[in-house]
Amino acid sequence: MASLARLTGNELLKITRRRLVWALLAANLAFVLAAWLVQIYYALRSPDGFQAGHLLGGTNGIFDAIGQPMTLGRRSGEFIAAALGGLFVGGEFATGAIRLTLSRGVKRLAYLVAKLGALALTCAVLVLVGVLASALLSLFLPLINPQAPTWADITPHILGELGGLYLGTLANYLLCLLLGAGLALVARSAAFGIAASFAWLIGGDIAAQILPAVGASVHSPIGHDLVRLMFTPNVNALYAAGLPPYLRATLDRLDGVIACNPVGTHVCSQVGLAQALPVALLWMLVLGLAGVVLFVRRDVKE
Amino acid sequence: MHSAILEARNLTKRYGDRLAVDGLNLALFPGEVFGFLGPNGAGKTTTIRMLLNLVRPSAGEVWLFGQRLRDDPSGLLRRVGALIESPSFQPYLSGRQNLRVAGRYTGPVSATRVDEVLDLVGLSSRADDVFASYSLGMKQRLGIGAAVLMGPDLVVLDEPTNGLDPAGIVEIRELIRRLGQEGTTVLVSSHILAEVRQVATRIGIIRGGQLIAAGETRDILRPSSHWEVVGLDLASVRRALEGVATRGSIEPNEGGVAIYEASLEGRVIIERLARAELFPEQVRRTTEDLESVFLALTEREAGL
Repeated sequence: MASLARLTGNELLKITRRRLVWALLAANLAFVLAAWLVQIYYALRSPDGFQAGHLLGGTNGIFDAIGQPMTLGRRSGEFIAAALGGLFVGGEFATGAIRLTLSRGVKRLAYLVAKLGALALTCAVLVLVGVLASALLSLFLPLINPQAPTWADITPHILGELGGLYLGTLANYLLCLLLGAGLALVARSAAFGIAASFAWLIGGDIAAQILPAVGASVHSPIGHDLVRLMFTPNVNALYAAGLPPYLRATLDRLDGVIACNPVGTHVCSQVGLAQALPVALLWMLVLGLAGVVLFVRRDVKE
Repeated sequence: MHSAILEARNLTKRYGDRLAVDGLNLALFPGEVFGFLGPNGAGKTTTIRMLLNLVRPSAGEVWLFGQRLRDDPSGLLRRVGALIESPSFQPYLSGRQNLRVAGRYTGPVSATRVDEVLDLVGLSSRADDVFASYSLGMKQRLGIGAAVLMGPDLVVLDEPTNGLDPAGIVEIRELIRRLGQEGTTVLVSSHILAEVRQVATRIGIIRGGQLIAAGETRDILRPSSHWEVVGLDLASVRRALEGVATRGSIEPNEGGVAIYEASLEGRVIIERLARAELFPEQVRRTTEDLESVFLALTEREAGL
């Protein structure tokens, strides 16, 4: 345990000393701020924007004020997490630093766990900073419109929903992190890990739109179930399941997640925990095992 | 019982159809500086990687400190410091931070020890600059610093003087000698024969994945010489030198005769030739350089 803690400390030192990480964190904050400004813009454009049942009004007003910038900012966070995975796992192969590390007798599995652990902590900070930034920005809403929601409207129920959003976003980031790291390990290259994981995330958005229709056109129950299980949604499964139902129904238009499985022309069955959990666990298992096999078992030729 | 610090037994590595290392046997004993020589692509790096558990052998095994490496790789490799090929560190960390990180892979390392090592490799004044800003020589010094940081029992240095200026080369050579005198076993891999000859007590030469020679440096890398007698024929020189040189050691040469008798003195040759009333145009000693010796050895073993 002491050794794992020391290794994790080492990895955290590497992460915090890299300026690029701070730049990515700043970029994430910029996305949250941009999302908040877009939200304010739409609320101000609509005459009922701050009225009950509208964007920043009613009982859900404060949840939306804090949650929506995070929801929109999550897209950048996914790419940042994937980039961190590719950069810190594949980068050591590019610089050859992996030779020095593994020739010191460091247990490969412990090293991988420490590295991913430190990166997971970074992702947790990334989400937390997004939540805090959203929460702080919501303090300025009453200056824009006196009817805007305030922190006084926060109820235990809303806190629970925000907690679910935080955990879902974190799970999403962690899977993106594993995706970037796993793909970087395939080619032992940070550039490949980053490029391939970005391609997967963008391709996933496109596939999420196309595959349900393909599944429906094939009329095969197994095919349909597989499509439903794997692609609607995939690495953002727990995030989609953690959202309030009214957001889930229209999520694909917001941030590239189809959290609603089309089962008919107008009817949809919303993604629930029973679908999201196996999908997330399956991804975690596949990416985790791939990392172990590719890192622990292979020769170091760099 | 194994008194060797490091032993490679029948070490073999195959990449597909290509045999990179072929049944290599090697032993390093406490306190010796062992030079590992070989042309490019001979299998030096693959061997070193197998010794450090970076590459898994296809066959054979590595023993470190009397224990089989695969039984306790992490425990055994903690006693080894290595610089493999080019020095590889985090480019965005300073030299000091990189040493701290490298030290903490094996255990806690004090700031004082880091400072000592920075001083040892002459990087104290640039310790807080980022690694990316270092010259090749400075990177090499930091790599050597990382190798000796935790006071290892065995140090493996792959081309340690790459990129160093002449003064730096002398310093590193002295450092290697000092490590040997202090009881640290050192394996130095290099293609610079003169360098290895100056620091290594024993050497091993690898070619085509096989160890073709191993032994005391002075025996293997001793520059050889022969006498050349210009302007005389083979039969008359053989007749004149009867009793002081064997017939087989006297061979025809371009423009004369060559005498491969290391202990034969020039004045003896001249005296014998004069007595036989043979007067050559020249009698000269020709010395082969280390490179020629090395090439002759590796080519002979390869059947070239």
